[in-house]
Amino acid sequence: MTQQQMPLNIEGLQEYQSKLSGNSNGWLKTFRQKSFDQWSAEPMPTPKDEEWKYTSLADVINRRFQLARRHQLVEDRQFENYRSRADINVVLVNGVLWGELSNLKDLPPGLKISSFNEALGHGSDEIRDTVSKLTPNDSKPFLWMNQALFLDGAFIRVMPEAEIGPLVHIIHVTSGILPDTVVFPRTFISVGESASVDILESHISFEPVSYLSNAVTDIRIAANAMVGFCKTQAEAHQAVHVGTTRIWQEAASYLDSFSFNFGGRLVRNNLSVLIKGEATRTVMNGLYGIDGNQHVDNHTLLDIQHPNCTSYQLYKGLLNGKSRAVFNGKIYVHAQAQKTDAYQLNKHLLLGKEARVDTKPQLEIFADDVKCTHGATIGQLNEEEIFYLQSRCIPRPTAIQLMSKGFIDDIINTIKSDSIRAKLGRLLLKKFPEIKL
Amino acid sequence: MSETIKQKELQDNKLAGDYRYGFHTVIEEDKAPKGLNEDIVCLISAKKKEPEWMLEWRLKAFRHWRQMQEPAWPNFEYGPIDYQDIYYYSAPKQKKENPKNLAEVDEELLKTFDRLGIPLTEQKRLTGVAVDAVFDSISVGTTHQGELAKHGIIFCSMSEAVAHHPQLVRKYLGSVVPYTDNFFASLNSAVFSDGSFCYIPRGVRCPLELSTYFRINAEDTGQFERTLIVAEDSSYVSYLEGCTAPMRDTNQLHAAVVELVALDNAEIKYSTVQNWYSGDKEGRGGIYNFVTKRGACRGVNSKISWTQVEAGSAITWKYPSVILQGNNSVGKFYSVALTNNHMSADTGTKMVHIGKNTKSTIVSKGISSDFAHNSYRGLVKIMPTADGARNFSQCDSMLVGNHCSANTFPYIEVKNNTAVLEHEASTSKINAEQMFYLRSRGLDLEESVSLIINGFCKDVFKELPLEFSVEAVKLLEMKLEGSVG
Repeated sequence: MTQQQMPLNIEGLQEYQSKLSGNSNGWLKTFRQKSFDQWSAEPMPTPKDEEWKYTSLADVINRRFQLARRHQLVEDRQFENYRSRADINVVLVNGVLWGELSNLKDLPPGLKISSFNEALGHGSDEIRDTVSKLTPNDSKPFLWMNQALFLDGAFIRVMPEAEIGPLVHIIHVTSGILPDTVVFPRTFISVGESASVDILESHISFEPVSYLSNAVTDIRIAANAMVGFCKTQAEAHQAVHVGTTRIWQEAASYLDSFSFNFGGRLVRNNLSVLIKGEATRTVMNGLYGIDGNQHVDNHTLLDIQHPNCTSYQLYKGLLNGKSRAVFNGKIYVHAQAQKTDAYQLNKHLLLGKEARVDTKPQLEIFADDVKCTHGATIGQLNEEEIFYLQSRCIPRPTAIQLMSKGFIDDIINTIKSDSIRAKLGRLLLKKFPEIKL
Repeated sequence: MSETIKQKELQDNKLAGDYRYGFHTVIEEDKAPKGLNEDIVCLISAKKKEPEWMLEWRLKAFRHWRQMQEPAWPNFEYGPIDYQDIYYYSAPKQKKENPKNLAEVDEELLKTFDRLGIPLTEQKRLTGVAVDAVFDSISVGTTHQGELAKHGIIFCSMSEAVAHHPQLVRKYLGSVVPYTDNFFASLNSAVFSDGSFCYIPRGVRCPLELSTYFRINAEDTGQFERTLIVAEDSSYVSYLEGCTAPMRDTNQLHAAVVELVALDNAEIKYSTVQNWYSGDKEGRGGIYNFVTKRGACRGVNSKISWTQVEAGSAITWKYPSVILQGNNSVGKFYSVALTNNHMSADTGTKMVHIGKNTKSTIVSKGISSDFAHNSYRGLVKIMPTADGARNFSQCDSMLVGNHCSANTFPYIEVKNNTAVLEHEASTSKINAEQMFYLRSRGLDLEESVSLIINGFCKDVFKELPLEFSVEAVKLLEMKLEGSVG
């Protein structure tokens, strides 16, 4: 196949592929090849595809991309501000684990962190198990592309019954690249039975360079485990980020997930949670605060295949300027998933005159003894409430600040980890300095 | 012939609980040959003695339709439709051609409508409701025309309107649903047979409820009716629509188009009780119901409301919409969709806000039992010009049994930051505690279910005109009989 026929125009693809890990490894080679074939056979999605109805990739498709040559952090001052020493930091630059920046030496018992390539060296059965059990979701072309082309990744294992105290912070930095580079951050997380852990996955970049980040994260949560998982995306304004997070939840496990989006020009997040056991609890919350001409698209899927599961989902959007938000939340309840209790709410606050929202909360239910509700609201600040505050001698700008902060706070406060909350608070402050208070 | 009818009636009585409109009237038919091509389109036009411009329009639609593909996105499956294996025109042969009044209409036809509970003859007529009865491809008769004419209201069949009021038809036909709109609307534009035309002049409040009753009788035919309602400034009309078909093992296509135009301060209320034959318990037969209904609130303060009870058809594909162009215009949609056995419904609405301070309300109730699939699909679109737009949507689903499904696909697109929208949806089953309470008060199972279902649908039923409301309640009770327990 020639370069011109590929769905995405990438320079030096063949040379790059020949250097990828797993070329000597049986299953990984087949896996990569299969993914590559699938990816190259399918055209890139257009707004005619239902899943991409409101997000156009025309700009991405027409560009000529190159692959990252160096994996070194260029700008480190801002990075240092972002990272905190108390956490267990796992730093990946352009998709490659960077040991010097990470602190992987004194890990608490029960926690194993290595690069993907290293884990492969030690025996790849676990990775194979994890990967093969996850089914693809709506962002197939990007998933296949990542699977075919990822260089390295973080591989995190929490042993059964381990309780990990400090926050595990996976930082994907894109740095030192030429314009129009494509990177493939990849993360594997496997949490053993009855273990508990808090994980923050950050995607950041500080240099004003345009690039495409095609990130994939796979998380497997075994029975009775408790996982707090937060994904933050605060990349440069020129970045395009397409993220796919696939979570596999077994019986009586608890997932508290959060998705933050602040940066990037065009961001698409696919979060799919597969419920593979009874009596699970799932929280899927999210917040996006965007301005200018940013475009954020969140697609979530909750696929409930077993009875007695509960889920709660709240996504909030704060839109300023000409920004545009898309939300598509699907809850799929299979016939055997009786006694499901699922709740979904999507709220938007439109501050910008030309902000635009397209939302589609979606229920597909095949079981009769369930309680499923969803809601969506779109509105602006209530003039009467602003007037009330003004009548109490609070100036109008402060009143607006107060109310916007109130809108955001109730969702930020659902995050249990103090460390995550503090980091997000700082990000939020940078993005919306008027909401400091 | 009377023998056959008796036999049929016996059979019908047995099946009364199932579908009491499933009988078939034996009457000689005047059919066009099967299949669809330009000749058939010309033939239909000729049969109706249409003017040149109408035929031109049909042919344009037909040529456009040939380029189109059947939509594949609806959330149901159905056997392929062979568009060449359908009779596009079938009219009951009448002894007198073009009966001038109802007295001249064939006895057999009048009897049929009598059995359907739609008495057309003068003495039995319901007071207060004017009926246009459509049998296969033609309108059999329209009642109360004289009385309506006194108010300047035109209420007649589409063919009559094309002949007698061409200036109005030309002005409004296709202005809301153009012939290029979608696959089924294009097909309808090419081959539409009859339907009702209704024109309410300026400042007139229509004293009667207007109604059209659609009956499919002939086998292997498709029904393609087209309805156009125009309400001039400050007028009001309430329009009802009912439909039934005989029980058959084969599927029949019904592709209708309804266009409503409301000018300044006008109000149109459109109610439907759809009870086409829905197929048997195994899902054989039934009507494929692909309908395009759209209203345009062109004038300021205009108002259009759609109320529908969808209880029949093997497949329902229907999205009554309102284009809110005029400032302060209001669009409403109230729907109950009941699906049982192997029925599928993919129905909902579209509200497009263009004018300032436009408001829309959507209340949709879906009930699904046995092996049925019920989907709500709705679009609320706020255009940049629609300052101060307001929408409230509520869609609730109820599942009865564990083999059915309920889905909601609400699309919300907002391009104006002054809009306020609320959407909520829920899915649940009949509450065991409520059932227990009712049973403990001496109500039997069926009564309790019916009471709960009634309560569930009350928001919609109260929007229906009185007679329809009673009929709708009975219809739901009948349909759900035996499905809970």
